[in-house]
Amino acid sequence: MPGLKELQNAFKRNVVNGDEAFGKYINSTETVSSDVRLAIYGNAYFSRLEEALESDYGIVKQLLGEDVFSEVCVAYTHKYPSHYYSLRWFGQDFPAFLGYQPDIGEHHWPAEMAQLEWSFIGAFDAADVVVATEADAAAIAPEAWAALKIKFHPSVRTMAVWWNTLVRWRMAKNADTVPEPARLLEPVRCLLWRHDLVTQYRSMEPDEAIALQAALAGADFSELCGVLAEEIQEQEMVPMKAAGFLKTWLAAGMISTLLT
Amino acid sequence: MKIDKPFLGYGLGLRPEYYETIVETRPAVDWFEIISENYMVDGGKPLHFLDRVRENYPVVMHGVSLSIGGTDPLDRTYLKQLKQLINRVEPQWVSDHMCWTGQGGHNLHDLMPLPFNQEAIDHVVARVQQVQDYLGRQILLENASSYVSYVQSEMTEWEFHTEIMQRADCLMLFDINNIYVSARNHGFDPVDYIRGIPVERVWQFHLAGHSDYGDYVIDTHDHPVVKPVWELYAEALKHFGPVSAMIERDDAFPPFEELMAELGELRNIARDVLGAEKPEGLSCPG
Repeated sequence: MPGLKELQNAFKRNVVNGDEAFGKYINSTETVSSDVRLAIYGNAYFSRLEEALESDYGIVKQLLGEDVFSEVCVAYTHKYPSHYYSLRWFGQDFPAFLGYQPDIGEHHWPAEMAQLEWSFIGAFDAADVVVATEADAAAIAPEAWAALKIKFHPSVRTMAVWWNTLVRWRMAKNADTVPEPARLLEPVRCLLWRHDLVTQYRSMEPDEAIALQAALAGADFSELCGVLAEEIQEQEMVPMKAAGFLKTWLAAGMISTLLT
Repeated sequence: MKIDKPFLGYGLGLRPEYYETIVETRPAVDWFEIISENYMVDGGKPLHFLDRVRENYPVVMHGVSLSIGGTDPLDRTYLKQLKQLINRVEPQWVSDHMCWTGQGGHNLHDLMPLPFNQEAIDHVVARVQQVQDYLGRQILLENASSYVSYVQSEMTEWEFHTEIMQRADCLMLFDINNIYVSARNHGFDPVDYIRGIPVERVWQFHLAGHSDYGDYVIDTHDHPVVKPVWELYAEALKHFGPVSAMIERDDAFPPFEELMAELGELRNIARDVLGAEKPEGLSCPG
């Protein structure tokens, strides 16, 4: 007779791979065989994990269709068995599994849609912090602005979008007719965050995207202006542009602290 | 006989589908139970609503990931986060399941059954003691429903639970629906189960619905409580006396009024069997 550890290992193999050898350790009754009993656990395993992925990637499912999504889920579940105590993290490798390549964009639309949905989840339950206000910015001494650093709300994140993913996500969410997938002429940067309890998203113009990326990477205000100066032609507009972005981010509840 | 255990009254599971209704209408529910893992996150909506509910109701914590019967080492990260949530919620008590949830680092996210034998008892007792030492409190373990029984089992499920509770000095979350489900699946008398558990160890009842496939029954929490489970509840009240009881619903969520009607049934049966909803001699923390 196997010990507890061997028994659990064999049961796991039966659940995941249908290993039939385990059946000899399970009692059958007149009306229900050990095979039927074990299948309850096997079926529950795959359906529970598919439900978790459906909960995370509802729009991917809607656009791929139930059958294709189900096949993808089974393949994912075999390739990425859960190593986390919570189902919250089971789906984290799904975009990569679908081929998401953020830097070069050589992925198909399902991978990018999955990355968008995963980013929403990250923003949804990111840590709560008190946000800074325009009054905080107004209180900064003029000589302190150059070295000002921005600490963002933990929910703030960005992603490159190479397909018409944002409009398709919005139309699908609103149960409107979803346009066919199409690649964009140029990739755009999408911003996601949570304001109060509601997750938000929007695409950014290239200058704002560059400024935000620099600020997220730890650039101070003068460095941020330097990055912007390389992007826009009207050099005299740079400080005003940078201050405008800062005002927008403050109003959107994206900033937790202004560090002087 | 006065039994020294807290009595919260009659409660419901706190689920996101009912957050707004509960916070806005403050329904006449004595207490709520949360699924601990759903709130072991950094922030956002789940913790916001948990805090709002906690302002007005006693809350107990119910986990699904402890894997007390697992043969992998106890998950220290999980225990640490559980303790952090305990400190935030200040629950009346904390529970999980008598089961294992994974092996070899691979989590099955299910409540897998244990063989009822001495090896499993020794194993679980040692782990319960570790968990209780770390959390600094007794835990409740729920009887999980099961669809298989092992040829290795040497005793009944109630004998198994009882020995673990007595040796580890832990408590029991007595799930009446699970007893009905397992009794149907394995052919034992659920009343034998009820009478086989020591009265003083049971601090909480669960009642829920299930899916009946004729030859077997699956614990799905997606239907109302059925008559035979209400009858078992009455039988359990006769044996255990007053115990904090609640309805679990995890799928096919009905309008909140329907859950409140089931809660009313929970109270009515207790009143019929015990002569009062909140009998004297038990503490009722606010």
